[in-house]
This record gives sequence, C-alpha cells and structure tokens, in this order.
Amino acid sequence: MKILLVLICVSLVMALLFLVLFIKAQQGGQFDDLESPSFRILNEKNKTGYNAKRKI
Amino acid sequence: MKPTTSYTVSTKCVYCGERCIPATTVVQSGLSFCCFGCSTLYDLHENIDDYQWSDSDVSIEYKQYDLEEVFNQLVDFQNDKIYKLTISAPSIYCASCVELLEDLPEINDKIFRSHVNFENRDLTLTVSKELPISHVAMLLDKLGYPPQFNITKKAGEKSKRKQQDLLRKVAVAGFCFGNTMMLSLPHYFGLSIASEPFFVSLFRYLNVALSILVLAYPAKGYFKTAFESIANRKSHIDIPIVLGIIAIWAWSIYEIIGGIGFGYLDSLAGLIFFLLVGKWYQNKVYSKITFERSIHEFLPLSVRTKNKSDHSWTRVDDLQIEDIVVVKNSEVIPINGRLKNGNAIIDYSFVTGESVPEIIQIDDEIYIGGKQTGGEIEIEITTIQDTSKIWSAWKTPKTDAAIETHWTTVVSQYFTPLVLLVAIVALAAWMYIDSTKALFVFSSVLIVACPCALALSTPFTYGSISRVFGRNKLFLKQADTVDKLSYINHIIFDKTGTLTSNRSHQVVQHGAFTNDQLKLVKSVCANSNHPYSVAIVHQLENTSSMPIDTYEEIEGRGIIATIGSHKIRIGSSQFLNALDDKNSAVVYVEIDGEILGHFGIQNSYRTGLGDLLKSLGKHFNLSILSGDNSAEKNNLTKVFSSFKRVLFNQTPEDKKEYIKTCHQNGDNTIMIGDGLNDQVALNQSDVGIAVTENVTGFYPNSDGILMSEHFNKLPRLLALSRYAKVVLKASLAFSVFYNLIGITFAVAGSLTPIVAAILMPLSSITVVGLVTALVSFKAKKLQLL
Repeated sequence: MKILLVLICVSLVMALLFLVLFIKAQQGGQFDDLESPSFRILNEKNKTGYNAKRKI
Repeated sequence: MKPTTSYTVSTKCVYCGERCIPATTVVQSGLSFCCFGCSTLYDLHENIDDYQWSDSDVSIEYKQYDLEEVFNQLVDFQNDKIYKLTISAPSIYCASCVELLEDLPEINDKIFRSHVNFENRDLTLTVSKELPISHVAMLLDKLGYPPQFNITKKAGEKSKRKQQDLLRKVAVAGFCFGNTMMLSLPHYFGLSIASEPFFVSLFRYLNVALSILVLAYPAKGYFKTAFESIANRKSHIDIPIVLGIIAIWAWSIYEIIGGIGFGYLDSLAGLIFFLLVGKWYQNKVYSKITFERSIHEFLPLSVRTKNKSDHSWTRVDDLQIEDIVVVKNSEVIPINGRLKNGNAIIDYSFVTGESVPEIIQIDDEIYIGGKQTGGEIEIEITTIQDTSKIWSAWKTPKTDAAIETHWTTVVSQYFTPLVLLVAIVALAAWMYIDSTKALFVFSSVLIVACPCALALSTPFTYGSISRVFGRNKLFLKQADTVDKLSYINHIIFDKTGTLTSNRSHQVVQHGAFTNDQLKLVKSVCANSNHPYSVAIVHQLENTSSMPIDTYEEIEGRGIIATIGSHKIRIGSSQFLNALDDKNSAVVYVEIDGEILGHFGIQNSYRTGLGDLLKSLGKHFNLSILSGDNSAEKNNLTKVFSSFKRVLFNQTPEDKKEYIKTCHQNGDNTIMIGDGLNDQVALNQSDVGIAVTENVTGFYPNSDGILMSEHFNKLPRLLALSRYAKVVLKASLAFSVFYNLIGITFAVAGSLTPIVAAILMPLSSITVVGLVTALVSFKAKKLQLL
C-alpha cells in the first residue's frame, strides 16, 4: 500500500505540470488564433519570377 | 481587364514563376500569368498609383484617427520612427485574404510588417510614422477590407483578457475536479478510516487543499459578483450559487475535521468546473459583439475645410464661424451650417427616423448627423455649437427599474433557513429518541437538501434560452434579460429600418400613363444608376425598353433625354417646377412638356410583416412610433389594422414620453428600434432591442441586438422567453418534490449518508438535464433549433 504514496505524488505532479504547460502555452498566444497558421503554410515565400524580384 | 487564353510550351507565369497550363493561363497586355489571381496581384503591384491619394481625398471617416490623442489611443506601441497597431477588418474571409493582407509590405513599402489573426478578423501592422493611420485605412478600404477602429479599444482588450482569464480558470478548475474525483474514489469503494487511517486522512486533506485552490481562484468571480450585488442590495443569479458553494464547502470541512465523513468536495469542484465551462462558451459566442461604442466612431472629430482653393483638415473644436467645410458623398454632416455649394441630398434617417432624403437648396440650413448622398458639397458654418450637448440626450444612462427580487431568489432565501430548521428539529427529536443516531440524521438532512438544484435552475434556464437566442441571431447583453422578456406585454416598434427594410424600395405610380409612355420612362431610367431610377426600372420590369437618342443626367436633380420625337424629363419636383410635395420621395415625369404624373418611392415593409404582427397581436399590445410623417398611415393600416396606437412625427423625446406613459399604465414594454435615433426610447423601455444589419453597428443602451434577417422570428423568440417561467416552475417543483422525499427519509433516519451523497449530485444533474431538455424541446417545437 505504501507504493500508493509515490503514485499519488507522481500523478499530482504530472497533472500540475500539464496545467502549468497549458497556462504557459495560453499566455504565449498559442490559442489566440487557431486558423491563420494553416493558411500561412500555403503562402509560398520562396517564389521565383516577378514576385521574387520585387523583394530583392 | 479581360482574360484571354493562349499558350506556348515554355511559358512561365510573370508573377509567380509557375508553369502556365492552358486551361488557366491569362494573357494580359502581352504578359502571361498562370492564373487569374496572379494577374490580379500583378495588376495591383503595377498600378500602385491607384493606391496613392492626396491628403484631402482621405475619407472624413478615417482622418480623425490621425489626431494625436486618438492616435495614442489606437496604437499598441510607438517610437520616433514606427508605430504598431491592430485593426479590425471584418471582411477577411479566406486564405487569399490572409495572403493579400500579409503581402501589404509589398504593396506599400512604408508598411513593414503585417500579421493577420483570422479568428478575430483583425490584422496587426507595423508602419512607418511617415504613413498616417488614415492612409493605411484608405489602402485597406480600397483593397476591399474597410477597417473598423475601436476608440474604446481598452474595453475590447479587457474583454479579451477576461476570456483568457476564464480559460485559465477552467483549466485550474478542471485540474482540481479531476484530482479530487480520483482522491475520492477509494472512499466510494469502501475504504474505511479504521483500515488505512494514514491514507484516508491524506486523501481527505489533499481534497481540502484542492478545494481551497478552487475557491481561491476559479470560483473567485462568483464570490465577487455576489458580494457586490449584496452590497448594492440587488438580486443576482450568482448569490444562490455562492450560497450553495459555501454550504457544501463548510459542511465538507466540518465532516472531514470532525472525522465523520469525507465531504462532497469532488461535487463542489465539478459544479464550479461546469459553471465556468458554460460561461466560457457563452462569452465566446458573444465576443464579436460590442455594445459600447464611442460617439466619435459615428461623428467625426476632424473635418475637411476649404481655404481659398486648397483643402486642409481642422479639428471640429477649432472651427470658426464662416469657415467652409467640405463634405463628400456618403459622409456624415459633422456640423450645423448653411449650404454654399453642391447638390445636397441629406439622409436624416439616423437622427429623425425620416426615411426619405431631403433636398437642400443653396443657402438653406443643414443639420448635424445627416448623411450626404449627392456628391461633394460645401457648408458654411453659421453657429459654433458644443457637440457634446447634442449627444448628451443620447448618453443618459440606462434607468434602473425599481429593485425587484425575483421569486426564485425569494424561494432560495427561505430555503436555507427552512432546511436548517428542519435539521435542528430532527436533531432535537432524535436526541430524545436515540441520541446515537441524532448527528447522523442531522447531517443527512443537510446533505440531501442541498440547494444546488435550486441554485442551478435559474442560470441554466436563462443560459440555455439565451444560447438558443444566439443561434437565431438575437444577442442579449445579459442572460437576466430573458427574465425581463418573459414579463413583456406591450411591444413598441419603430417604423423606419425596423418594420421597413432599408435595402429594398417600393414604387407607387400616380397618374395615368399609357403603355408607350411607360416604355419611354423605363428606357430613360435604365440609363441612370440613381437608386430611384433603379427602383422604377425594377417596378416596370414587364415593360419593354427602346434605345434612346440623347441623354443628360443632372446629378441629384434629374434626367433630360430624347427618344425619337419625344422629349422626356424625369426628376424632382424642383427640377420640373411641379407642385411641391416635400413629404415623400417623388419622381416626376414630363413628356413633351406636360407633367403626366409621378412615382412615389417608399421603403418597403419587411416581407411577411402582416402575419408577424397578427401573431404578435394575439399576445401583446402593439404600438408603432415613427419619425416619419403621417403620409404613411394608409400604407401602414393596410399592413396591419388593429394596432393599439400608431403615432407619427415622433421625435426621440416623444418616444421616450410615450414609453413613460405606458409604464405608468402598468405595462411592461419592449422597444424594438434600429439604433441611434431610437436610443433614448431603447433606454427608457424595460427591454430595448436594436434591429441591425451588421453586428458592428452603433447601438448603445440596448439590451440586445437582433439581426434584421431574423426579424420574422420575433414572435417565436418571445414565446420561448415566456416559456422560461414554465421551465423555472417545473424545475422548482422537481427540486421541492425531490427534497420532500429525501428529507422525509433523512428525518426518519433511514437514509445513509453515502446514499444521500450519491443522490445529491444526481439531483443537480437531473435539474440541469431537465431544464436543458425542456428548453431545447420547446425551441425545436418553435423551429428555433
């Protein structure tokens, strides 16, 4: 039964860790905009031709 | 720019460098593009001059944002060279919008960085100080993303931070809920204090620690609002919740410290977790709506003034008498003055509710708040007015109705002392009968009679009803409004913009026209883009048209045209020197020097309005208050004949007085209007609902916003709010019934605390389930879900 003590500590610490990670991620703005990063991946920044020349 | 298709084997797109495929290739001025999108973007970059403008061409709407104090409010960050700001652009719609807007630095090299937040429909820009905000706004506007600024941005920021805070609270409450649950499980499976004294007390005290964390952080808001409303002697739905929380917590602590049991801390954490989840979800639905906006988002702070020949910008406060102010098409009149130059056709519907634009003659007075619809005009200032005075009438705060305690609160207030009384009486009685069982009976009475069910029924009823409302585009400021709505017996409508639609016109033909003459009229009107001409052409859709020989349109006045041997003049009464009929929008027709008749143009009533009013009339008193003149009366009675009262020529103050009289007669009123000109009335009524075409409009002092396309659902929405009473009574009856049975068993001493502890959360779940099921059943029946 004494092993329970260790298990409880481990589970509490893990849950607390997840909580802290979640709060950190949220404060870092990871949940602010869930949609635009998926659009941005389509936006090719390594274009050739006219568009690329403009950037130089 | 008309795309033509051509193809050569090795062609690469001039813009993006991709290989061109015949099916999609666009050739434009000798250059090949792989797709239409590339050619459009190329066009944009090449014709960049179209996106440059002189300072005086900047719209009056945006110019005020350059003023220093406004600028400082808007920007997130600034130094000598750059500033950073976030602009809301609701028309951001798809991935291409994101790409175009994030490519802004390529379109204008004074914009250094652009970052779109798609979910919030806004973009964060880093801009050189050489480019004022107004020019950034103009660029966005020209690209098709008219920006919206919020001077009262601080409020928006606050609500955003509140939502983030709430999410954090949900996370913490969820953490505590899960862990208390886990730590309580051994007890449910029969771990007794005798077999494992160390672990049992460890579990119990860990639970106590977690529950303190729940009370200290996630539940903090409930305590705060409850104490505040008690201090202000107001009833609030958070008060019974807090009473319930305190009761469960105190009792659990007592049990744990006294070694009697393990308490109900898992139910407590669960309760708070679910309450917060519900609140977070509701806030998310409401996050797009701002109820409080600054006046200056409607009325400009700076105006375009004319000195000799060139234009410059002046603050409204710095204007002098005899200054000339230039107002361009579709801008708001910022000052009172006299028309000096130009065709002034002023739409005063915002101020007076009168729907028909007024034509102003040179040297006639023009008043603040109207909207110019006929091209550029010059206005000479005649008096210096205090702008704040004009708006003061609209700023009167919402009058608080007499403090009224809701019956559910009264019931809850009596509930707790009553239960305590029963418990104490039972305790005393059992001391007499069998003192070993006395404490056990006392505790089981208290547990089984937990006020949770009572505490939950009100917020969940209002919450689920306002969620159904939200789905049907009626957004309430506060869930409590559902309660007020359920007592309404008198509906007061504004006419213009509420019962009539601002989008479509109705044309009434006066005078005898032969078919050939109608043909001539249609042929001429078909050449004009004026809304009245468009409406007339639409009205005469069954008439054929013919080519015309000469055509001249005098802006804001009329048309002169010839077809064959006929000379046709169509236009305003002044244009044709017809009998003056200023009361409504009338287009006169003259063929070969003879005035044959006219077309009256009216805003048309919403479709299905007759049926709507008929079904409302069964349950409510109806009134109509209109800023329009009484010429409309006949049309209105056609739509619906048995209004209690229909009043015309109503100023905002008249409307307010009318509602006051209704209140004195004991009516509970709901005012349904379209925003600014009804503001006072919306404020005065018990519930004020603004009908609007976009949620970003201007509607202070309203209790809710109804999207105009859902206007026909009004009777059903009101029926649902009346149903709230039934739901509350049902849930109250259920919890009373449940408590009576539970307490009877408990008093009799035949209910073990374990059974009571299982029954208690079960009762809350049943009440929540019952309420939600009843509301969604009714909503489905009313076809609102």
